[in-house]
Amino acid sequence: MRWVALALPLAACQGAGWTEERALAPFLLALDRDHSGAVGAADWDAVAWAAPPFTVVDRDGDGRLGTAELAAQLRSQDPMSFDAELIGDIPPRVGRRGPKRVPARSAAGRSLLDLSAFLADEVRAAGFAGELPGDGEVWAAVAAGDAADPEVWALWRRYAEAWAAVGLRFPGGLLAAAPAAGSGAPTP
Amino acid sequence: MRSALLLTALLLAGCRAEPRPPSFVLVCLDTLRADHIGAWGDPEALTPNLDALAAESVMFTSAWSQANITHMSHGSLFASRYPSELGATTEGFSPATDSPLMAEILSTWGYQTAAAVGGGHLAAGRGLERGFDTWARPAPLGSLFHTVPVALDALDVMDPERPFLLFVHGYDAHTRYLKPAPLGLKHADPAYAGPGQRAARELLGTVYVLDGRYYEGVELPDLLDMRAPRPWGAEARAALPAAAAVKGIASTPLDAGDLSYLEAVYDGAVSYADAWLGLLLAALQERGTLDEAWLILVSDHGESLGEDGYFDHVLTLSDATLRVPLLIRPPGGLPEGRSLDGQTALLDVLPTVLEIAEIQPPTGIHGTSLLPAIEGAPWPGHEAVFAEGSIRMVSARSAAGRLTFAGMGADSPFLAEALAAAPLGGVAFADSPPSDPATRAALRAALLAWRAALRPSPGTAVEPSPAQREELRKHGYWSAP
Repeated sequence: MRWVALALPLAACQGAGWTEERALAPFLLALDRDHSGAVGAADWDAVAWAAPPFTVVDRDGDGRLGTAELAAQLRSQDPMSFDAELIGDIPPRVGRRGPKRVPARSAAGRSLLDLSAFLADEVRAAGFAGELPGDGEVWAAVAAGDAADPEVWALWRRYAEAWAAVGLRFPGGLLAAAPAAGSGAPTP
Repeated sequence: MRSALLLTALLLAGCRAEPRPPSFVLVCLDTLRADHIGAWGDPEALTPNLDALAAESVMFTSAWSQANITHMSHGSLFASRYPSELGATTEGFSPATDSPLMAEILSTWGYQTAAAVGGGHLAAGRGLERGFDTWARPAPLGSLFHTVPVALDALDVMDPERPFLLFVHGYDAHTRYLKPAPLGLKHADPAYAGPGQRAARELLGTVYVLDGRYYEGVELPDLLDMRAPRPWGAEARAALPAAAAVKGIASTPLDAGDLSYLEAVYDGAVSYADAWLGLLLAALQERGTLDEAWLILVSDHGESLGEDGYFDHVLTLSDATLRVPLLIRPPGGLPEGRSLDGQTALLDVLPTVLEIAEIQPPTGIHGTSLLPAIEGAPWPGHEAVFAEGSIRMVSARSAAGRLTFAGMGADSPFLAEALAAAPLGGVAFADSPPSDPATRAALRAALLAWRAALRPSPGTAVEPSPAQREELRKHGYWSAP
């Protein structure tokens, strides 16, 4: 029976098009924690952290929150700063700040680095415990800047050997156009 | 006299050569997970307006975003192309100018176009405003609290004789989660006292949560190697507490109660967004807009709420970060809502809008018009839907599951090689790949076919201004240059 006080207005506004009452009445129903049939001071206090006291939001002073009063409350507190306004800003953060910079790289260099890291990760995950190309070799390939350069093929061969050692199928396209190892400059 | 005027008006109306083309209201509730909405099946959700809107709309229950970050996702929404095709793989992004955007196309056909957005990745000057007559950002990382009044102001000055596109966006469900009373803590345990309170309240609080620890105030890239192909991979993350200790950075362990509190505060933010949506709908009804315009409601991405060990959306491509609501309401609403379960993508929104407006879509788009489905045709859905991540990831999703490849972006010329070579059970395929080998293989084949058809673009290299850069950095997008 107590629910009727809230449920009746809710039912009445269904099908009447979108109104503020229709939009907000279900929230009042849900906020009525003590099932008294209205959102009173006790219901408000349960969820009113960093919010005005009930006597302020209950603008008409009837002891219950109505949809117009809920709408006014929604329009009165900036969601980005409401708590700072009422209880002060939170203390400064502890710890460090400042983003770590990713070194600027060319698109080709970035892709080669990505692929190099991928090849290393996969073969390590497959159990390879041997030596993999170091940063110097990888960056030499990046500096070469062209997928047809001997430094790049040398890098791929190093990874291919590691992949083969643990039985992984190496991406064939990477070496498809490469000359045989030790044959000098690549054939165009 | 009054009757004569009325008769004249009716005659004039009858003499109009053509009816006015349809108008559109596009609403994006940023960072809104579909599965935290009542209409999508969450029994605990307090989302009466989304639920009521769904009851008079066509609801696509399995809609997927094409990216896990705002600017990339909106690029796909507006252009019906994948982020890498728009050059949208970096923070300094402006969509490629050879990819027309929704507002550009509609304005070419005489539409009035206005947007009220929350800033951040949607700040003006980054290209997504192309084609809009006005693009207002009333507050940094603004909510519907800020954007709805501005949007209504824009609507009120529009020419009633011309069609329009109104875009309304708000970061209500985005971190920081805590929103004002009485909805902000509606779902939370009133007796709770713990570190979750601070994490929910601090601007980037939940972003500092990883694998059950709260690294308060520490931007995680300070601890992880962002040059690594998978900086958020299991190996790097396992080393995080030790790395923090070496650097003298304290962290607080979080228990199940803390994590549950954070999720509850997120749900409060969703309720808050829903309340503002209700106020927007009421204002549109009052103006007659709901009877004359199509209303499309989306989110740009979801949010991890403890899944994968963190609270955010940029770190992985998963169902949690990519499943979004998609509602399409014809003018006046449907007498009864309909629910379609086939997979859809945000890519589908542009061709749907254009078919409704009877405008030829541009070549090269990837989406499919949903208008036939809205009109009652069967909607089997896309067999696979793809997504790109902001930190070198790609993902395919079918009805059978999701396969996410981490370590290389769609723009990498080596992606196809790496996809083909990576062992299906290997670390490159992250985030709980489907256990069925056949499903994994099918999804990898789908990813390979998708990549083969993709035409990555360098986009337009527009760097954020210093102010924009600072705004992005403040809101957790650390990789902003």
